[in-house]
Amino acid sequence: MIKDLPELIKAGVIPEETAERIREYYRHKKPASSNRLFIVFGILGALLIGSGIILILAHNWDNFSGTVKTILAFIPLVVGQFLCGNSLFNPRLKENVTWRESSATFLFFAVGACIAIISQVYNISGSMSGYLLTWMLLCLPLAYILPSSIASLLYIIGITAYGVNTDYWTPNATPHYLYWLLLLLIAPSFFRHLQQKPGSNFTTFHHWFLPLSAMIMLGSLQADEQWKFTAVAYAVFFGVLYLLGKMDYFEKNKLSFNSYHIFGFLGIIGMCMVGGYHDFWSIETSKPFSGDSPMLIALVVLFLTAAYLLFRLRAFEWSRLDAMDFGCIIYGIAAIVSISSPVFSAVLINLYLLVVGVQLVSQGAHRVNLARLNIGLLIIAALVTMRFFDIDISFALRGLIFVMMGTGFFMANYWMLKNKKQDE
Amino acid sequence: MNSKFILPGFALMVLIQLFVPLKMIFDKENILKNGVLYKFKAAPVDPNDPFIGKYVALNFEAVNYRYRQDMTWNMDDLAYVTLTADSLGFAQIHDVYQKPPADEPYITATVQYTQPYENQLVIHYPFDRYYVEESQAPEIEKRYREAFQDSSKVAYALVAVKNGKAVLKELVIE
Repeated sequence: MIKDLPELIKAGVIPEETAERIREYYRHKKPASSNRLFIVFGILGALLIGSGIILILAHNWDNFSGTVKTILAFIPLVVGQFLCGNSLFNPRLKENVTWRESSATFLFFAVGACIAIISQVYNISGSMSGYLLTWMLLCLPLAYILPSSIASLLYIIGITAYGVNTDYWTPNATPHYLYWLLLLLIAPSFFRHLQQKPGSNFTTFHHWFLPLSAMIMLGSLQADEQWKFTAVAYAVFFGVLYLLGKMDYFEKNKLSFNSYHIFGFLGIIGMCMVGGYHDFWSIETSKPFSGDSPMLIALVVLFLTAAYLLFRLRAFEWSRLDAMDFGCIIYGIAAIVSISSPVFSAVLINLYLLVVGVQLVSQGAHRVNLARLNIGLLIIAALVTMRFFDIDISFALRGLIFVMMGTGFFMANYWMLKNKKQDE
Repeated sequence: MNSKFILPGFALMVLIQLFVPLKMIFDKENILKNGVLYKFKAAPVDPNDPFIGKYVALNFEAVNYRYRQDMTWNMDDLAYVTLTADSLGFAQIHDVYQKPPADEPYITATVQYTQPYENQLVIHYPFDRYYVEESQAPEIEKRYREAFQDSSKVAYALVAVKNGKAVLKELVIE
């Protein structure tokens, strides 16, 4: 902005004294980007120091007695606790974000290393799930007491790993729902970020990590072969995310902040691409429907959430609706209809995708938004391409259609850019 | 967080973080000092790689048990195993209960799998790995394999047992 000031003065946009006040303001402004850099390097440094200490100890490990090994296991833990205490109670470090996040990171990994080393010294078999659960519960307070954003993010990663290990990788295991309780335990930290630091990078990371974690674990609620419920649950889940992304709080910020919109959009399109094949709806399950399936409960909760969000958005003003808002409803209808006619379900999904693509192209053309236009064209092109694998037509005809699609892409973009230049 | 809760909250967090690993150590040391010692004769493992990471994956001979016909066992069920010693001093399964026995030492194990037509189950003990330092791994692996090929050699695990819990004290190859 400083570089543009002479041009603005020359063009008569701002007077000289306004320009001088702007220069003065930026001269005294604290450089936010260099603060962020310190925080990042501080956290990286803590990680490297912790890893280095462990590697040095590992090299000489077998020469130590059991007592020495036990003592060494506790040293990083005690050091990490001291550093965190320092960041909390030392007046010079109390407001220092770098120190707080670095010490929390160090302590987080020191706790995990201590438990792992003790397990090795005493040949404790244990299970990965038990280890992860203990580690995460011991480190959860870091997110609230310090409070550390990195600890909160690492906790989300940790409980996701716990959930995957317990519910996906353990063969023949009955589903555990502890992951969802663990996710609820970090909710207050997330809301604190929303209230106190809505625009910070840490909050943005939370917006990405939380839906990704929930998306990974949603499939674990499928206890039997009722995969159609799982498919619909995922479609509704992505619908909920998409609607969340339309709330004013997220729409006002840049797209990279609005992970819900991105996840929701990509998720609904992805589910519909898969649902566009009639084979997807015609596969029979060997087990009958179970009314107490946890996935069914999740589905009901997600539907109610979607209904509430639609109400909040006051979506009954039709002008605020777009085709993507109906993705979960269309998918649910397709799942119900597939019981008697899988082909009709596939046709419905394909028609829906076509409407979404055409609407995006239309919106892109009206708002002179190249991204929207091209995404719409991509969806239509992907739909046409996928249907090629369903129907038996000659290579020549397929080639011709691809050429027409490519030409359509070029023409649409050329026309848009030409109109944009004319308006300027 | 409310500032008046920070100090007690931090102190509580520190204490719990220290308590959990210390309790693990205390429990294991208690078993090692005061538990009954058993020798579990090792059985051959996958000949290609008994090592997963930095530990020896252990398998034992005393894992099979024929149960009464009126009992039902499923995979991953908890099994409370009481032991006896054979003529060479190696542990053998005496009995397997579905509830902890009151009057004799036992190990809390799990059922690895069952063979219902033969009323037989296979036990999985909680001490199935022995951690070793990486540079010593090739030598130990060689000696471990030789123990099964040479009838004059034997490999066994020394395990201390108390109140249903077991601690692997040592892997002996002689």
